[in-house]
Amino acid sequence: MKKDTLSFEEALQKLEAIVQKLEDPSVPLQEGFSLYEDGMKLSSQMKKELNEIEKKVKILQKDAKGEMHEADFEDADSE
Amino acid sequence: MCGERPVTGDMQLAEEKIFKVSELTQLVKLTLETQFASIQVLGEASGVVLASSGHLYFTLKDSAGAMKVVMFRGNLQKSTLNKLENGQLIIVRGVLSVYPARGEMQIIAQDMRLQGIGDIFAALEKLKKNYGEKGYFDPQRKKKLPLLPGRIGVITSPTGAALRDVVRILRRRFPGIEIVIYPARVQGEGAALEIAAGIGFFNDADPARQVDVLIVGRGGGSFEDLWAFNEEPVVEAIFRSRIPVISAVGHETDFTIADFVADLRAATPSAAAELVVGKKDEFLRQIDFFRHNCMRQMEQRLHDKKSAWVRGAMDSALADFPGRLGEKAQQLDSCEFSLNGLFGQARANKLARMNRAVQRFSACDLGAMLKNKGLLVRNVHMQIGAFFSERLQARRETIRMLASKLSALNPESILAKGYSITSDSRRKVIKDAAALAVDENIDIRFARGRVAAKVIRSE
Repeated sequence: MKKDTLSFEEALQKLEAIVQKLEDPSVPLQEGFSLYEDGMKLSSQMKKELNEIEKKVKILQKDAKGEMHEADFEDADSE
Repeated sequence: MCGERPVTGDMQLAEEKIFKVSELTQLVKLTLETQFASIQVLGEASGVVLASSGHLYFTLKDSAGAMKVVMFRGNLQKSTLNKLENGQLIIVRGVLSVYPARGEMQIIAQDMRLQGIGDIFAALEKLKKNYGEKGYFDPQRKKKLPLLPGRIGVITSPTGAALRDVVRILRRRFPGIEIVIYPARVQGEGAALEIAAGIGFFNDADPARQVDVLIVGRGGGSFEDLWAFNEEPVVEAIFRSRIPVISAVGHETDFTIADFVADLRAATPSAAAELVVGKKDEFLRQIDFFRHNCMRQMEQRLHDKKSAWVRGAMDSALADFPGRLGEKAQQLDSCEFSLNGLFGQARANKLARMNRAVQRFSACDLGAMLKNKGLLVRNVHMQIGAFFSERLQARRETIRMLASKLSALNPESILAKGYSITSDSRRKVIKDAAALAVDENIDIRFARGRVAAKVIRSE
């Protein structure tokens, strides 16, 4: 769990809120511009994060002391 | 009386009649099928053979007897137990019959089930009731699953098909997503404790290594095979888990206590993999949807703002206008309207160009858009700004010109040019010298000040 940054879910909610605010005609244009900028920035970060996920599948193995360690898990149909 | 005795009953018939073999087997067959049309027989399965035709043949026996059983393919597919192994104690329901070709008695089975299953079901129902009463299944204590888990923990047999399915599906839906497998035995003695230990392990993990969601399960098996997922250690571990747990035990039709206590029940391990994370492509599509909306809203706003700017420019221009020309303002308004008319065409052209720019903008590849971020829109914004300040300037000029024309018509500005206004003692403006008599008092008004005078002579 990431503590310091927004979770993907929170980011998606924030992005949705930005769009909703932009849809509100009472929000001044100046604010609209910064909302727009925020939205573009946030969404490109999210896309970047999604595309950069490159993790392996791990399997836990017990060592001699009985402690669990992660090892790479390989199976026949891994791509 | 001698000779043939009349045929009066079955006994006589049996004693006297000479049957053909096939007649007799048919008769016995019919008799058995009528008398034993629906029977249940308990016994141990042996000599189990599944023929290539799909029909199942075996012998049902106990310590002192044996009976052939056949279960035809159609019934086998519908049977409560559809995979039979030698040595299993089962109850067969069917009809007692004869295989005429060999004269062998056999049971034509319609259904078979494991013996004792009724007891297990009763035990399961009791467990379910107990945990239900303790509030283990309360919907309000079900934890919400994260939309996009960073790490997914899987507790299952490292050699089972379930694990392969889960890993394959997760990788397909979301390439690169992190999966951590906790290998555990999923059936037999001690399995429940291993599964529970796995749930505990992930819950106690150092926060940096914690998983966001757990899949606990196994592939299909007999009712007994799945039993570990009804046992207290597993049920308690799932109940206490801070991490959301998805149960994925057996097939769609299998239900265990783990399924009820888990935050989400997946019908199968594969289904769990599909529930745990959305497709990466769909996430990307959703983000793009919001991006597109952002852009569309901005376009709309710019469009609306243009009209507002025009109105604002009008208002401020009118505010500059000298108040004392109030009665002429209406005239000016009509000038403004015609001006708007002239201006309208230019604006429409500019608007059309703007809209084309905006359309190109939104049609742009989003990747490329990323690089330019809001710059492109800001450029458009500046273009509009420049366009309007230019236009506004021109309008101000026009208005100033009109104002000066109007002011030339004002009587007071005529006075400023050196003219004066004469009125008689009744304050009537004199336009004709003949209206005045000699010695009459008059009033003369100049641009600045006024004097009282007397008519000396009239010409």
